[in-house]
Amino acid sequence: MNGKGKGAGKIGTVFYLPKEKLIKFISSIKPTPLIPFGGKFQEFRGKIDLQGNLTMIPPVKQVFLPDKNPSFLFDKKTQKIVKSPAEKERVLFGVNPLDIRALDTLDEVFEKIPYYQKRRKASIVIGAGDAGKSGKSFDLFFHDDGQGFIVLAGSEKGRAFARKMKLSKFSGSLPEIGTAQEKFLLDAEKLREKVKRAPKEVWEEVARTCLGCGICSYVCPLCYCFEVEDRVPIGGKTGTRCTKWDSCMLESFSEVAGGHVFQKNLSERIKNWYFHKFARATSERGSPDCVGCDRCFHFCPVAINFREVLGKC
Amino acid sequence: MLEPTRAKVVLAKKLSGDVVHLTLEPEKKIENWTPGQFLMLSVLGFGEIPVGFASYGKKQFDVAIRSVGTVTSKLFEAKRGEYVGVRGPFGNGFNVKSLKGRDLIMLTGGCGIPPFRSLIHYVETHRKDFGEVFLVYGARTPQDLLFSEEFPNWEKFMKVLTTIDRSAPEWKGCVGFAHTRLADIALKDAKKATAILCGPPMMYKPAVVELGKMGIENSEILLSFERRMKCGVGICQHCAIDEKYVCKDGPVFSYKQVMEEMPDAF
Repeated sequence: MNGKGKGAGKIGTVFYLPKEKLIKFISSIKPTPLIPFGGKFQEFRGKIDLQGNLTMIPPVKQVFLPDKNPSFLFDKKTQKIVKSPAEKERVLFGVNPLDIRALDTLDEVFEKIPYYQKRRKASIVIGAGDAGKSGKSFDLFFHDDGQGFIVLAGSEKGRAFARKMKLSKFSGSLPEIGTAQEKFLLDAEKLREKVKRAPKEVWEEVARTCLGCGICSYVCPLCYCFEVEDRVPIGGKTGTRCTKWDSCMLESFSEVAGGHVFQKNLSERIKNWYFHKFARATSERGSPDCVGCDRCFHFCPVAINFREVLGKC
Repeated sequence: MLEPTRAKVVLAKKLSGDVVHLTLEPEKKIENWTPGQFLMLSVLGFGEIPVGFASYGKKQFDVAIRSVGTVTSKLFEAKRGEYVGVRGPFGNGFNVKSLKGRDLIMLTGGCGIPPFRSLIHYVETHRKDFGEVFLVYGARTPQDLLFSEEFPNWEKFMKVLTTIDRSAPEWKGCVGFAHTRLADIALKDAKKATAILCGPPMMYKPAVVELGKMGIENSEILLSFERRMKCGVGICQHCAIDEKYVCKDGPVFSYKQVMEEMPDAF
């Protein structure tokens, strides 16, 4: 699953769909696809946010790593694991190209986590937009050429789906995948060194404006940190162990039993956020945990722009 | 990977007013562990916590738990025959092979002793591999010195130096924080000594200063870190320090490595 930004490799059969047939096409997908609308992924009901502001498109982690996701069920009395939750077949249509790139990373980070892999395998991911900005973790990609969509297959599953949906074949020139990545993200090692060498005044300056609310983590497609919580209904015999969304911007994130908080100062937590994305991720996987979607900037209540912060490092 | 294996509580013994010693027997054999490694211990329905192995080398293993939160207070009440969940071992642990031939100073305070009990078990069975061995151990009160009934046995093959935070009527020993007792150790050659720290966060700063004064090299001061941990495998991000994960790259780091790569660790 490695190779972010290297393109999807062999494409094979290519298909085409004119724009006016898009809604009809989405309507005919079974099971009813999840599409971005109104700021979240929801079942298609005739409308879809495709060309709108990217910040209105939810990060794809909402589907594959949802908040309070049960990783397994257990029997409280016997302390036995009962079973893993079943996965249903899902089709996602209209995943933003930058979120496809985020999936490249999530697939690698969660490679050995069964609940994630099961859900990924049971899903068909259909990207839409500019293929040049996309990663490679799609089954199909609808590349917008103005009049319609050149439909690229990224997997055998995607190809079979396109045939089943009777998409017509395409034989014109093909768009390149993943070639339009932002420069500052491509120069990952340089960015890593910059962030590592940044004086603490950089983080202290951000801390003077930052509210420490954690919305940047909430909307980021590559903030995947989690808390673990057992949930048992009142009087229930069985419960679920859930992974809950968390944010390193919150004080509780580094608190241990007994009450000691390791990252008490907001500036330390801000530093850790930048370290995760632009230093630690690069040292682990060779590329930053950032796709340049700017959601963190757009949703920040005090308009902190990570690009400006990186510029000061 | 995140699913625990069921383990039976075969011994539950209170060590102090808030600490319990549990011996656990997993239903499926877990991988061999090294002293200093840790496991994730679950009570399904309550949660999961990281905890160091407190013994070495058997199918069954020991842990010592202080009751401070939801999971630990449940574990404190655990009874023989009940079940918990375990997964691991995780982390690097103490590199026992690289400790061969060295003098050892284990420095701990409060509830940091369990991983050292594991190392002490190792030292006991491999005694010829080591030079002089010291345990320097500080606790709040005499009653909080965990495993104290095992000290006489340990003193047969190593030195145990204890201290308590504030004087107590029945206490005839030393008073003060653990690192103050380092003054009572006369090393023949500090270059041949390795010091290992495992204790409350506030202990590290003054302790490394004292160990430096004794002439112990920074690469031979090993620090075992405690952090919030949820996955144990470097994904959940809670235990990250700069570019390292305490769960995966640690929990044991040399002071040299900390100064070079994790300047904000403490």
